[in-house]
Amino acid sequence: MQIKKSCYYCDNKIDYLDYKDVEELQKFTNSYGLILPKRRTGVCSKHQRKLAMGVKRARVMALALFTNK
Amino acid sequence: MSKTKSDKIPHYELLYLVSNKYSENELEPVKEKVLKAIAAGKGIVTYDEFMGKRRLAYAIKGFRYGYYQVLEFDLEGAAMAKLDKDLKLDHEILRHQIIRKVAKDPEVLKKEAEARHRRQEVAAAEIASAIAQTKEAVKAETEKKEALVVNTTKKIAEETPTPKKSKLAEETTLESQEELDSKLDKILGSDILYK
Repeated sequence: MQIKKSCYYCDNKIDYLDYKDVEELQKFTNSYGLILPKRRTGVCSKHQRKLAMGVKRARVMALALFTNK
Repeated sequence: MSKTKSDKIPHYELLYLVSNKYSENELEPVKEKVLKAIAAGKGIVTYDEFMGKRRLAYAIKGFRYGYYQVLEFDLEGAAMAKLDKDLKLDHEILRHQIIRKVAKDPEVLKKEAEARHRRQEVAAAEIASAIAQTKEAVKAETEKKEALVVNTTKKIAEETPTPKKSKLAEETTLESQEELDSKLDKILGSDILYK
């Protein structure tokens, strides 16, 4: 997989990460619904933390999968 | 961050999920109940969005579909705890989540929601097209296979039965009754039978 070098959220100047926007969050999860590591997503530390929180919130509300076997 | 009223009174975003046991007309009383609960804590609702019916990522209490409703409001901390408890005890609401948030202009939120819906539609369209493509591929393959089967059966039908039958018929016609009789006599007359 190609390594992205720039942070998606910094580049697009997205100030708030919306956990309801599952289609956006799915870019940073693999096909099993697991959160990809920072080295894979290229997202900066600050946004990676928010991203992880967003994915977890989406999972609780059944918007995203916990795991997909 | 702009200094707004929400810097003093916390601003929250509530997302709750109602199962598809209820129809869309029955969602209004549920929403009214929630709004009443917020009003009871002297909360002010600033944003309201119906996210529509969605397929749940996993089944909750046997339900595979649900309606999502977003509400944003300013509310005091003490009243928040009560609201959270009320929502938890509500039977109609399958699940809810309240998060703290920086207050935003409702118009900006609307735009964000529209963008979200667009992405959702695009994703749904992609999935639909992918499904259609695979279906077509499967159809084409099955048609090919069927055609092959038909062809081979035709070939077999053309090649095998007719010439064999004709040969057999020729042989039988060639061997006349007399020849058969002589052959029989030979077999019967020979010593092989008695050995």
